Amino acid sequence: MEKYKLGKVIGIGAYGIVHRGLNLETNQIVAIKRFYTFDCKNGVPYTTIQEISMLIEMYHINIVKLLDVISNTKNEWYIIFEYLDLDLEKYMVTYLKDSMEKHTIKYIMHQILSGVMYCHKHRIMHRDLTPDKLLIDLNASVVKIADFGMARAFDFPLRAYSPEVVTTWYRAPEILLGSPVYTTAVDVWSVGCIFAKMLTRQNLFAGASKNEHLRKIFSIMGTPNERTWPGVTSLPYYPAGLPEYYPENLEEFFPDLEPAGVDLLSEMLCMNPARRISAHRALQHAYFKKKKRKEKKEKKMMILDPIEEEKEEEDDDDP
Amino acid sequence: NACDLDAGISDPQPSGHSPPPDESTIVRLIESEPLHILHSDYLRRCRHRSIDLAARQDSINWILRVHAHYRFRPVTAYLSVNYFDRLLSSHSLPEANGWPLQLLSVACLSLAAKMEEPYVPLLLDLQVFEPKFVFEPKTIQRMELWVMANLNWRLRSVTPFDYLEYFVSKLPPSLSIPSVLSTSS
Repeated sequence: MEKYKLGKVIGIGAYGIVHRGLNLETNQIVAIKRFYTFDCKNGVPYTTIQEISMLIEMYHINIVKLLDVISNTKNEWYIIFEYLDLDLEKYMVTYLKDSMEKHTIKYIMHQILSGVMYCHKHRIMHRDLTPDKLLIDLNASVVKIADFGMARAFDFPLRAYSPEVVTTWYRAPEILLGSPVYTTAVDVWSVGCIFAKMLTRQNLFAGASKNEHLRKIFSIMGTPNERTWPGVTSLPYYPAGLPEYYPENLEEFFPDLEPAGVDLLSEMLCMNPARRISAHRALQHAYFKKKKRKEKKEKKMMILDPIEEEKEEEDDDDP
Repeated sequence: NACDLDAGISDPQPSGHSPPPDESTIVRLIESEPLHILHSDYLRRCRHRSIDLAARQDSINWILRVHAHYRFRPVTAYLSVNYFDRLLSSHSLPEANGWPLQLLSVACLSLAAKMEEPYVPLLLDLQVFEPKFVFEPKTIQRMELWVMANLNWRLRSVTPFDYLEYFVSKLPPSLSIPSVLSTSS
């Protein structure tokens, strides 16, 4: 750790403390995750092992970069990440003030989905996407997915994972209903909730308890049944005796959102995970298509987009 | 008990949603394979006995027995041996009557289980079948860290299991039985 200087604490998590820090050799500002001493009965926690081994192989502009892992003979442990200014939660409070931010929201959504698609292509589910796990580089206008402590590698076919993940308000209904198996679709649901939050700065499905949360989701998206979601009524926590809500018109909740945006949001918040849109298809959605004559500002933003796979597709879209 | 926990999760639903393994996934797998393979002279060193083949075989046998005891997934066995060989191919362990190899075996199995298994036994419980040496969890933890660092933190090795789904999808429909996959993984 001689190479780094620990600065003030910027975050506290289940497994450690995150400091701002300085690389003394390069003068680069970094984030340093310092681990608590591990519980010795189990050795190194599996979350740490998985987070490091996933991040070490991910190279994507929309995923926070792991720079270094350091352990010393005193059994102290540090992971060095690139440092970013603030998270989306704080960004929304400070910068997304009025409706003129439509382009910014679209641009942020595109970046989040690009990062999520990259994870899914690399067989990684994040499982815990929330606004405070999305970091923002103000200078470069880049959004990066961070904190893979809950992430899980998956294989085909998907097997069962521990059910209690994802901070409640962004949790997909299949997790809330206790489905023993879930898919990459859980991340898309979370991104849909984040989309809604950016638009209104309020959580679309806020409930104090799990049941209240479920009721809230049902009351807006409609109570799922065997026809809309085969198998849903036999999930462990499918609540008995809830009213049969009909799906509401999402347009009414987001009057300022263009129709293509409402359509994308409804596809991301599709109750049945098997029919929910994938990150890959979401990126091809009409909401992200360039309009023929657009303002220079938007064009400039799109040029910043560094994802090559996407570029190809977008070039195709151009008339 | 591990078996009870396993029984609870033996019913994987087919996923109608995750990205299907396409050509680009396969290209990615092939590209990252070289990051998880052994040093090229490992075989030569084995032949020239700078690696004790009998001791290696004993270690692997022990790993496989514990693996079977806890009914770990097949990929966990593959990963354990992959870590073990990668480590030996780049480092020489002191011979010292066999404890370094036993410690390496426990650490590799534990790391692989933590990567793949929904339930991982405590480090003391992992050391079954009366191995000659039993290590304190603290010691194993240090070994885990040392192994991880020397594998350059790359524990998500590409294994043959990663290709299975893709190959099965290439079979004629009458042959592609999803249950074949779920029982093998």
